[in-house]
Amino acid sequence: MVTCKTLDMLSVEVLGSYRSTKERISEHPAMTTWFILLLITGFSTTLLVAEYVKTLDIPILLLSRGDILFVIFFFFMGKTSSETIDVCLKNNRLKHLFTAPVKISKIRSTIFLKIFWYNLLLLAISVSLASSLIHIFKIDLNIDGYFFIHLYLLVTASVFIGYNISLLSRISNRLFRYISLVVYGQTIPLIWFILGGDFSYSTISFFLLFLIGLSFIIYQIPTRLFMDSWISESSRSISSNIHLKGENWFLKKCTSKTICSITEKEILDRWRRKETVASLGIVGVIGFGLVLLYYQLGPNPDLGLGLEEYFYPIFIGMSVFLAVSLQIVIPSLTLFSREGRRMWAIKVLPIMSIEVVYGKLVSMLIFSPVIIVLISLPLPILLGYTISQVLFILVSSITLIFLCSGIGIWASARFPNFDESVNGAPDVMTMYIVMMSCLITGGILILPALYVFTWNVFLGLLAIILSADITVLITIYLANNASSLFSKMELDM
Amino acid sequence: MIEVKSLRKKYGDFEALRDVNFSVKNGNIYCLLGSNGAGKSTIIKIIAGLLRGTSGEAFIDGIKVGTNLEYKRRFGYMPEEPHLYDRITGREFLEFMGTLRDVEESILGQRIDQIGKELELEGFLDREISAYSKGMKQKVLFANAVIHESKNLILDEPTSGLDPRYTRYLKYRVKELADEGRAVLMSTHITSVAADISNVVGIIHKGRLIAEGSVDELLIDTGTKNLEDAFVEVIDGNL
Repeated sequence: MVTCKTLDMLSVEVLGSYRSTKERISEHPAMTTWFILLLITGFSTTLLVAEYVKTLDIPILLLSRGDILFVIFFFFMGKTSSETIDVCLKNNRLKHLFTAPVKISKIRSTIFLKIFWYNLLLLAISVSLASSLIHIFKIDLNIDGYFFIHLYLLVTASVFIGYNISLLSRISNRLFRYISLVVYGQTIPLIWFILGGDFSYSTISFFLLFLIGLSFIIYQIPTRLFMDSWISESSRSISSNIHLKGENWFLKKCTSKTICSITEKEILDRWRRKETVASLGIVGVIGFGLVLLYYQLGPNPDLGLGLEEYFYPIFIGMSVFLAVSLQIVIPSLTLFSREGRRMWAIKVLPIMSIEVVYGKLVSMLIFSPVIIVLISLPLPILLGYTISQVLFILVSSITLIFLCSGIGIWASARFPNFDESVNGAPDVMTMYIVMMSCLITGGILILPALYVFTWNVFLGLLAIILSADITVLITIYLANNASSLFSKMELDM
Repeated sequence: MIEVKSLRKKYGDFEALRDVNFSVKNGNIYCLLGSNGAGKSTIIKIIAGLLRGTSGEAFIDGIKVGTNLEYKRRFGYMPEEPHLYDRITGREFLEFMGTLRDVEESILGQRIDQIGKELELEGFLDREISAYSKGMKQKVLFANAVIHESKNLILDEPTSGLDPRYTRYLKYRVKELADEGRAVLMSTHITSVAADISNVVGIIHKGRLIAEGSVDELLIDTGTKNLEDAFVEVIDGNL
């Protein structure tokens, strides 16, 4: 009997993911309901705001069709890139497949198809939801058929590009790695150029098809290079001049020996996985983007709404939230999941669960000043804000950082994902719920204080300090809850 | 001393452990012998605090498992599978675990060097664990179990993944540790390991402790000449 080994392997992967998702949904029915509600609310709000902004007809606020498509492209590319690292390059279990009498190219196709179909599925669900909501609320956004054609072509291209970039970035030969990345990386600005330029829709479609073809050729890189990338990542032994000592003076002084040791272990682990550098880099890019925005639009962008004074604070708030989500929320969701089968080591130690939680929490918070320095402060200083305004932004940022850390670590203990094929990475559902919860709770805590601040500066400052205090209490409560969940976790695997 | 009283563990309708009772006295090596899936690791994990029994109790030096942290100071644990933090070095792992077990820094360093030498890990201790073979990881796990010199040792299939030379070393070392007055509880499905070092063997089958005694007692009771035959006889008699 002739069988297609790629499809056989893919069906095993899909079945595994299906069962794991089904199990998580049946384990947490309330979370699933909440996710669906949040998803519908999030999509509706975004579409309604987009329609409202369109009616205002203010050039600065109008995102072009190219901008929107590029943002979607970038999101899917980043998502694919990170999935490729987790599902393929860091997946040690692939050794079972590599030792089986199956061509490496078939294994590569299986992994790619898995990532590709999941992203297309996500896109299909999003497009269906958005189309339904547009129909229900009769939202007028002037979307034509070409938009959807470009959207699907772009997402296909983004999956190829994200996958290829991850693979090329792990090639052991440095020179070849950098050259290939620099050359192939040019596809990203090229897409920006084509989407933003004055080209006909059919030209854009043709270009995207060409790009997919090109990426498909790159995807077909010799299996030797594919194996090289996998070996260099899955068996990488990083030499580092940073070592675990458990004796950091500052940490020891501020916390305890146990918390200090756990914090250092967490930091070292993330540092050697190069996750710290990556997340700090992203924060830097966001901060740079904010400053760039200021130099492009000037200190007083003309909105014609009388809302100019809120323009930059809104952007700062959004940027801080984005940075906190990427640097704190998402990594904190992996804190317990990533322990997985290694959790025995912490569990058998004579230390309190709360110390474990605080150790992990501190490791999340320790780099958060970077967010304040690179995102919260530069723009207010450039804009010449008063000390009280800067102080308000500063305390708001701290509030958001603490809140997101607390919610993140609690969610990590409440919904751990021990699926080894994803290396403890959180599932989309948990990630979305947690990020939306952070956004909503952050809004509830900060916006009333902001309202008071616009009315009376002194009272506003007191209000935001009160919000920060409440946030710290919430964080402590969530940490205690996470500790209790952690102590109840059984190592039955 | 390790004690287990009326221990039960249920997963839904499946009963993994049924009314298990035994004790390991100081200076003794107690081997839990059983087929795959018999329940050995479940017992070990409950005693180590990694699982909770459905009913029954476990004690280490008279302290009930699960009630406070004190019992965790009283044992060293070696898991069956070598799951370790792969991005830290063997030395860093041992320092991390030793520090959190309140071993003094100066003593800890000496002990790591000493046991690293004994296990011929010196050249590898400063490399990341991701570069270790399974056997080397097992050695790090054994080092971790003994580094704080606790009064009790709980070893889950300790010889798995070790070459014959180190299996011999491990058996010798475990005997030595028991001779120093420690209570050693270990699980294995290798009868020769159990026969070589144990004072008491407990045979586990389908979650039940079906036979217990010294190797000689088991041989007399079953009328067999070696532990392997005795084990098969006991299991077959209970099918």
